[in-house]
Amino acid sequence: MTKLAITGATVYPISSPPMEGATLLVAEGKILAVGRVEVPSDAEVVDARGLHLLPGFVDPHTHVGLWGEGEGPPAYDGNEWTANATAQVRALDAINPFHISFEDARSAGVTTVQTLPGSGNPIGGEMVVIKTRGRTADEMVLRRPSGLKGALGENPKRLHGQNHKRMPASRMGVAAVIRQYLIRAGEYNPEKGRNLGLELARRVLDREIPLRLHAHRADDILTAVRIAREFDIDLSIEHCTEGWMVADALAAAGYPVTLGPMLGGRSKVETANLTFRNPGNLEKAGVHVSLMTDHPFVPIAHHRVQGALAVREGMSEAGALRAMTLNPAEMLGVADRVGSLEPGKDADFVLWSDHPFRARARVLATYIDGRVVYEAKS
Amino acid sequence: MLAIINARIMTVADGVIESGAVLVDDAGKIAAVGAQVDVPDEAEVLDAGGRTLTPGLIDAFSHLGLVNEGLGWAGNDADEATDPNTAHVRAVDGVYPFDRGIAEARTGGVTTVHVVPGGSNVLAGQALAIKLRRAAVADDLILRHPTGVAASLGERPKATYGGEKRMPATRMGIAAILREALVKAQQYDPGKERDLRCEALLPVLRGELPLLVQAHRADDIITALRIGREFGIRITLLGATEAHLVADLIAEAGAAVAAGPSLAPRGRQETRDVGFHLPLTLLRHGVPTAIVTGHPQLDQPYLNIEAALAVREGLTPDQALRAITLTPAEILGVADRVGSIAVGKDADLVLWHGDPLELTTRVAWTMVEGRVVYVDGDDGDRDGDRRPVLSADGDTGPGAGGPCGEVDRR
Repeated sequence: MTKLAITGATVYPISSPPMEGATLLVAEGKILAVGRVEVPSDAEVVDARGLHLLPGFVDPHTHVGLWGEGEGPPAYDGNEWTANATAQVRALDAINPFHISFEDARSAGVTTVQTLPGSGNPIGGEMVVIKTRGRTADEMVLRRPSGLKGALGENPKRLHGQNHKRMPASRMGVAAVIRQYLIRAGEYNPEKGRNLGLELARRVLDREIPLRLHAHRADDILTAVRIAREFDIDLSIEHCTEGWMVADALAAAGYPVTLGPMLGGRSKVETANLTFRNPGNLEKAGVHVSLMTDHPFVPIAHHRVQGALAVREGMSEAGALRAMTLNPAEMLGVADRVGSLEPGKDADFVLWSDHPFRARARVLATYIDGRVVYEAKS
Repeated sequence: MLAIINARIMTVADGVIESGAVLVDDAGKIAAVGAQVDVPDEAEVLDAGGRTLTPGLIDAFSHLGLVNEGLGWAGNDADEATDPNTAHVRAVDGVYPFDRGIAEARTGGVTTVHVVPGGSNVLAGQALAIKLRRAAVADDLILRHPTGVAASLGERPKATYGGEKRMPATRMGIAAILREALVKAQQYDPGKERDLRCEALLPVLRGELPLLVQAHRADDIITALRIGREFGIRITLLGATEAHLVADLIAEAGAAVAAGPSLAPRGRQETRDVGFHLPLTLLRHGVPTAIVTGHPQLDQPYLNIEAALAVREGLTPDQALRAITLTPAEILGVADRVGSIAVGKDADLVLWHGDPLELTTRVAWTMVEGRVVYVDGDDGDRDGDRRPVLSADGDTGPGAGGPCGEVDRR
């Protein structure tokens, strides 16, 4: 059994306080030990004195591998906009493992992402959690399905009501499409003929996977909460831009939220109240907060910049790191595998030249399952 | 008279004063700067508490005020995309002084912004430089108008018009439209019927103003330089994603570049190679280079974040700070007024709680022409001027140091 020991770094396990001059011991792609550890004589040693060692970032809301970035329409597979409810489509089938966005992720220390259909449809499709390395989408999968994507607010209204003159044309219509679909899933009888979309929605009703709803405006956020309560299902609120305006209600509802993207301006009416104070305010209110890039909307290469700005605007540094690692892992249902440096978890970790929130910090090496997947040019 | 004392002053043009003072006269101009400054008895004193003072930041490429924040279609006035030549439209007529983006820009220490019409049209209109004063009327924001005529090459005009089966549908068509407009302006006889498109281009043909060309692909950049040579006009490049591929030729042509934003999605095909190699390569070739947000592509307040990340990629901190202060001032032709902390210049100043080139550093206050327009904790609100109150431990703002009085220096 080949062992790898990273020694001397400042280690941020996330699940416990940072330790200076600590060791991370890895074997067979898993973490064996963290802390003041005797280095076995047969271990390969990486001297990381002066460096910072963190778990790989987990970005819970991205379109990595399926959105296309400047290649033109042939590469865009984000929204199956041909109908308003498309639960039968799977992000997995559009992932291009050779897409440049995976290199971006690895070079920025992001080792796990949830990648998902866009927010054009009230019911969008199947989401999947993947590691950011592999030749086939299937071998990258960490959890599938990881949720059913849905969307409230402007995007479905514009795409369907405005562009195609079909339901939904209003927020009422958006909620109705989602309700109707969940009701159909409840009544679904596979013996009368399979329906792939309803099969997935049925798993939402059975609470095997959450419904993950795009919601920016406060009323959309609370519509998501209303629907989740009606159907007694698990929910995550995606974007949650006006969450700070209803922080108490969110905390009381108890659903996790995923915040972002926060660097790209306020192009839409529903993002008018975008602020980097949102993460800190929701942290203080006791909401389970994760940060996202929504890559390519904020390039995943700059995930850490959003974390740093959340800290600048009031979030605790520990809270921001947790919102980029363990919190999203919990929210995605993969915290047994990733999100912190603990014995038994996957050896997904990153060596940084400095704390990732310092402007000049660089990723020196990224590891997935104990293997180097990115190394900085010296 | 206002005296800012006990500051670490990054003058930009003349080095760093580790501990010094700046005097601001009642006209909002810098009256003195140095390690040893005699503070008149009657001067109002702002103690910087050892914090870092820089010139107000300047963004050489932005659509601030034209693309209103959070208003969607109703508030987007950046592109008069109805004709490929709209040289006669003026950005000043689209700037909305109540756009929340303007108030927010001050929270990031930005005090001067080059507002440029969008890139849909081959000739997009006249740009201007604004000061982020507290004002209700766009005219009261003007620092310089116009700064040049905006042009656009490449994908944007093609996508806007080619899709409608109108010229231009190709890069050839774009260049032809630009040439024809310049030829028409050369032959323009104001004695006959007035033509505002031609009139807008006259100062460009006379060499008084540059053509401000939004171009990204290297061949589009070269097309801009080619047309510039043909007509003997000055070219300033905006965006210029692939400028690093032809940096030597840009240097040779003497063009300046408002480069970026580099902290941005890849977006279109012509912007796929986005990254911080751009300002680095341009500066290595001696090209005057400003770092920009292209707001709203990157939000206006994060200009210093762009510069901070450029340092990670190889710029010196001095180069990076210059690229968001004095260099853009020179590109906009306003370096006599802004861009450095020097006697006689406008007192556009920013006090930072820490290193301005760090991601987590907050602005303590922002000043335009001697008036404080933002104090940390203010939320960028626009209700009157605020007097910054700094407590000894470094906190600032209304909650930290007592009530905020009015400061009115004008």
